Amino acid sequence: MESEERYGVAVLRALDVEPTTASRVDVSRAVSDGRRRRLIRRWARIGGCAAVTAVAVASVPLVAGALRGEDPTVGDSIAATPPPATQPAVTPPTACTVSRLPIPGGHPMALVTGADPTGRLLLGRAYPEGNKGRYPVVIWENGVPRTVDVPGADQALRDANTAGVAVGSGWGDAGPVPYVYRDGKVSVLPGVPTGEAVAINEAGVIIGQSSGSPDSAPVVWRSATEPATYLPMPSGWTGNVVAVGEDGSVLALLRAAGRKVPQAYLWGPDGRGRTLPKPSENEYFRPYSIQRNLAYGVAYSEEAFAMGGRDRSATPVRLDLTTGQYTRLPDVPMIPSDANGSGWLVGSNERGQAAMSAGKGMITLPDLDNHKSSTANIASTVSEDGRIVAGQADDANEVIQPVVWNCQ
Amino acid sequence: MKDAWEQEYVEYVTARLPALRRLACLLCGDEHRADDIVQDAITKLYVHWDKARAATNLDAYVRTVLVRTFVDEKRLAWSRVRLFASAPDRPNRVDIGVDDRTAVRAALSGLPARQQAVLVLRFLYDLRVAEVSEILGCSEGTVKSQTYHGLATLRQVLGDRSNAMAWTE
Repeated sequence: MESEERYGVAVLRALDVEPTTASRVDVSRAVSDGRRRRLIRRWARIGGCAAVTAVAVASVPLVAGALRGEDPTVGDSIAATPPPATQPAVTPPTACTVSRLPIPGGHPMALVTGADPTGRLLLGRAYPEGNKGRYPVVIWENGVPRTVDVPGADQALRDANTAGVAVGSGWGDAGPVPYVYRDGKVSVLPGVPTGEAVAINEAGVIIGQSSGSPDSAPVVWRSATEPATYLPMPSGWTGNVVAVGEDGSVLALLRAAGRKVPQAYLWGPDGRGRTLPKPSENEYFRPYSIQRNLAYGVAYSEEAFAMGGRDRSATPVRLDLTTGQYTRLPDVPMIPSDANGSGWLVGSNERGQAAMSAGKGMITLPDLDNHKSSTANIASTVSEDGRIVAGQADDANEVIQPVVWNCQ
Repeated sequence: MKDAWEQEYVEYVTARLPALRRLACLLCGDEHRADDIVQDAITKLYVHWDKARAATNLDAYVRTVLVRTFVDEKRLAWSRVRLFASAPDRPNRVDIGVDDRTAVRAALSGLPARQQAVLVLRFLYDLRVAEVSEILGCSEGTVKSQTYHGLATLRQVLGDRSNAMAWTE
């Protein structure tokens, strides 16, 4: 660790300079804003509690296209076409209600970190008051919570399959430890010195990465008891896995040695890897979900990446893995976080509302309380039938609550 | 009475502003955004001034408020969530040719906010693991893990450049 410290000091020292511009900080404004906040806090203590819980369930009909705020006829009509479905068609939902998921132990804050494909099981973690980096991991089964003791710090379960097997990690003495939860027990996934488990499919294939210093390498556990096998990587590449398909395909975001931007990568069911095409000459693809032969993700500008800033040109896209063709989804003005087999996407928009794109239109999910901040409401998972969407939402005090949107 | 209370706050904050701006700048690398962070932090400080002025180490208390304002709990949510936050969750590959400061800043700003805070506090402010864990409200193990992850990514992104920096004294 000593050489690590030396490295950290030497590198960070390059930043050690004084601000060069005049201060815009306004102390008198802090006083006036602070006065107002003190007043609001006092009011909240007197009569706020009942009001806060009363608005936790709100039913809002979903109106296709209502979110867009632009001419619905504008845009690429092909992009709005749902992907070819090989599964029985599911009708898109038309109305959703939001409810707060109960947090066991009376902790003030929790969020959803994953779900099984049906939405019956929701995964999350709670943040105890004055937390010290250890989080009670929570599984909600049909909305009823139970805590799971995942060892270590910074613990989380990130994915589950319909059989109720969940995977994740916790931070142990030597680094992250990959865990699997099944039959009520947490056990270590074998075969890596340190690492994380990221996703599991219906067949029980688990993907993750070994995190040997300094590089991380994608791995697969063919089952919860078999040792990890390393996925073949081009020499000098590093990166992280993103999702596993039902056929065992593994989607990853890698960084090639000497290349500027990340590269989406896919290992087929036979374990053979290939780089995925780019959305365009000046963009790279950041995938987050694989559904049959389709990968979902976001196309980002390489220029914005190089500058390190916020990328307002980001566009949700769908990549056909068989043909290599991208379909842009300009009708989906949000950053998606999950997709289901029908190609319905959930995420959140820049106004801080949770949103879903199901079938033809874009639909806004009701706030738990407000969308004052751009991260106030986030839909993180969507079930295969599109009826259960889960995520996180700010309450009246802007404390993150775990929520589920039940859709009809 | 109220006036004296407020006067005390104003005097304290005014005196501490340069130090607070410097810390905020080092954390976020952008003087404009740093001012917003300081503004938010001192507003919070006003709200809690009763408690803060009684703190045994007021400077440390304020520093904690500022760092936590920067980190913002929401960024603990999944990396995808961070896409909307101004700190991208991806390492920024750095071009050869820019100066070290620009290169390190670009690499650092690609880390999650909490890792950035850990690296700045540990290696620029020379704080011990225990102190950083107090500031961030997390375990020492988490500080170590964030340090490890953060440095590994910096190494990866900065490559040979950073090794050269580490060995030129």
